[in-house]
Amino acid sequence: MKQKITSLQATAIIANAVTPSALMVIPNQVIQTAKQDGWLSPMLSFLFILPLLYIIVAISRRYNGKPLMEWLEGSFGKAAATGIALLLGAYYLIGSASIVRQFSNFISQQFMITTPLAVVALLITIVAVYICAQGVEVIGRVSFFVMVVSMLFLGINLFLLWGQYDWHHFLPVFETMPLQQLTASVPPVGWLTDITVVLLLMPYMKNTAHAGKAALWGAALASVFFCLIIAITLAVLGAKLIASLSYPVFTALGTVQIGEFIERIDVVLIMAWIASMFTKASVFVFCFNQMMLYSFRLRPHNGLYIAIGLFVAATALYSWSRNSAVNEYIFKTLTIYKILNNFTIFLLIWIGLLFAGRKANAEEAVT
Amino acid sequence: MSESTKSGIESGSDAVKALSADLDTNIKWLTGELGSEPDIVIRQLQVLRNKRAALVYISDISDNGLINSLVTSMLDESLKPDAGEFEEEPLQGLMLRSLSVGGIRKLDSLDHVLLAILEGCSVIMLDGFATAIAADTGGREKRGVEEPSSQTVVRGPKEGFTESVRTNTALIRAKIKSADLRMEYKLIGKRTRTTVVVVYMKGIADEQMIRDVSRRLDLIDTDSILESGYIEEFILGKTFTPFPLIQNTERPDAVAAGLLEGQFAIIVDGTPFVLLAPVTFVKFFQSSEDYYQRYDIASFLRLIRMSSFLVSMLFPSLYIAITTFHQEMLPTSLLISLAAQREGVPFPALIEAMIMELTFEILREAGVRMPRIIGSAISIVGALVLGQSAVQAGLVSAAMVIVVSFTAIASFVIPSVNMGSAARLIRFGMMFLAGSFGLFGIMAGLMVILAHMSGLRSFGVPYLTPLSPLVPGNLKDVFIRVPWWAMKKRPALFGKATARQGSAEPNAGNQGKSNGEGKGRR
Repeated sequence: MKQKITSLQATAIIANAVTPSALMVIPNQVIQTAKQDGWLSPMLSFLFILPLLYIIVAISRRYNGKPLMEWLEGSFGKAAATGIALLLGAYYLIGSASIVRQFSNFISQQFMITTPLAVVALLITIVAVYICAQGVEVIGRVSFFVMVVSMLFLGINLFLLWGQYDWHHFLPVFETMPLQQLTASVPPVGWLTDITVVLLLMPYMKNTAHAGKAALWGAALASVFFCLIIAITLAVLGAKLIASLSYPVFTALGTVQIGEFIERIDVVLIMAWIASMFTKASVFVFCFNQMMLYSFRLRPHNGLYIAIGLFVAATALYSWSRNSAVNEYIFKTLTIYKILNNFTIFLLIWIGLLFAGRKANAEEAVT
Repeated sequence: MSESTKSGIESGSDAVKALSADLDTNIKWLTGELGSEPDIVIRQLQVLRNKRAALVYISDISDNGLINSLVTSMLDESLKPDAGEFEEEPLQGLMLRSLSVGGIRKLDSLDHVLLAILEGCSVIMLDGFATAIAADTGGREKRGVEEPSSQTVVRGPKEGFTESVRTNTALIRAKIKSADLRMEYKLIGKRTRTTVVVVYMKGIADEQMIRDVSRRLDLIDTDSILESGYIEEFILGKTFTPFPLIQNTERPDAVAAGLLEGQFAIIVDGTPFVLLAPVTFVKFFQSSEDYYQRYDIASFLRLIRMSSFLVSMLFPSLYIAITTFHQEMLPTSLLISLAAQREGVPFPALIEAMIMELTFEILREAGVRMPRIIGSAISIVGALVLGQSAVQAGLVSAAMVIVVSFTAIASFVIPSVNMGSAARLIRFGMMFLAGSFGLFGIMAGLMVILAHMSGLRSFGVPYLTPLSPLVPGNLKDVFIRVPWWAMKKRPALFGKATARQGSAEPNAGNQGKSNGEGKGRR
């Protein structure tokens, strides 16, 4: 039975593919540049992502129902399709590895100080590969569940932190220069470009015509989420303090205290974030697996999942010698890589499809 | 033995052996098959003016009163003045006039004769005829309808299924007096020949699903079915999961409610546990009582049950994780108290919890097996003496005894024993993860469980429906139960989302009965 997902599940997958790991770095990345006006940056980023949304909609309109790579092979030929698959495969491998490493670092630094990093990374990879191996339907259902829980926890968080908010931290409003604001909106753009996973999910969607809508909703949800997270962090900690913290969001959550009996509620709230990180890793591993299956003409197999899991874990553990190198990579290189990869590849695919369509129309006219 | 009778038996294939026209040949074959045990009765008699006949039955599984009446009616027929009327077709005569039992049928093969005898029927064979008559005289000893032992309720019917398939079908028919109630009978098990009945509501249950279950039952190739658990495992095939994918119940009202929501039931002769499928995860937290009590209290109790499931699955592991890795989560006074209790305990929290949990599991298993007379004494020894002594000896902390006891009590709140068992199994895995990775390990375990459950299907219905995939219309009976009048349509999960109430049609049953005296309850 071919697995199918609903538009709602596709939206949840997209939202989960964008937000969780961004949560760790976005407040730092944005507030360092945009200061107290950082909460505006994700809105600006959403505007910058609109051309990519247009490309997604344009590609999805030409989609003919075949598996994605087979469809591209029909339009561009085997060599070009394999090239695209390899490029995307490399992107999702690096994406998976950076998620696993970023996640492992956080767990190691915050909770499992004495546990070897490799053990934590392996556990994360095992869970991600397990979810991926269950198929896209399961990824969709898990993503939806996690999205609802995350929203619930975000709501609880907003409420519990109410007493900690200092609205003066937002003042003076609109002080940031436009150029700084534009610069601050670049990192969220990088994370938001991951909405392109919708094109890989398209063959599994019950209604492929809704791919664009799912991407739009996913991007909108993620942008609102970014805005809220930046605003909460700003309101609790203020722009000056954030710059000196590794995980400002979690520090802000850690300030919750209700009477004498509820302390460090942040650990419970972090659990929801951990669930979304597992989901995000599984989405990236799924995309990587799809590209590998096509590039090397493989068939889904349990042994392949083990190999992919080990490959991702090894890449995560041995690509960066120090934890600080990972943070530096995520702060600088990854944002640029995400923008270049997602904009360029899918823009080229769209242009290619336009030309292929015109060529086919011309040949039809001649015959 | 004449040539014709010889060929009569041998001409049949291996599967079906035809009856011979020679009565002695048939009796000889049956004696060979059944042996000459004392409960096998072969009564030879003269009927319909000197026709030789044989009545074969197994006395232990037959109703002797019915058999006596059967014999009397056959013998009396010979004395009637018009007894010669059916001289040419004596079998027809027996069937139409003589046999004083309700269910009779013609049999053409010795295999069918043998099966009918083993089912408790009395078989009448006439000399010179290659056809026999089976009269339904079955009547084994059976338990009466009693209150179900595993699913008791405060409010609601007190009747439960029994081991007799006929009693069980009757109990369902008594609940649903509709022509749409369908029952498909099957015989499964080469040696036990167990009667299995698939029950469903035509027009409500998904027909494709009924065909599928029927096919799965037909594919069962085994020599014995002694309980519905056999059927459960056979029809689920290679599905590896700790979660139950088929519900079992002793309650006819639960089966009736399930049938009316589009589920199908499988009744197996010899067990009071009737299977109900397809089923979703949330179904295991619904009790029959939920629908008999007010919706507010029913909703509250349902939330208690769901919380208890989480407690039963996670409480020991959360205790281990927090005391081992996340002490900062505890208020200082509680932390000091716990630390003081654990000071003399020589084991880490994981080992301590494992010892206590295993001890409790052993006590529970012993409680089920031991004679009831000494059960309470052992419970006192287990719960009080062992628990208190272990704390005093410094082997476990008092807090751990509280955690394990509360977990044990919570596991009994879940209405389904199967789901409770799943929570017990998962608990041990979660404890290990908590002891190794703290809350992060618990979260990793929960994600695996969530993914596993998301992939499960019960006869094509996703296990986590209506939560994920989301079916908003069915959320009225998940975490809370809305009032009956608000549940206008039956759930669309198992069958068609047809209207359950609120249609303009008057209650046809009542109309016909009493000139419109009672047009529905409301």
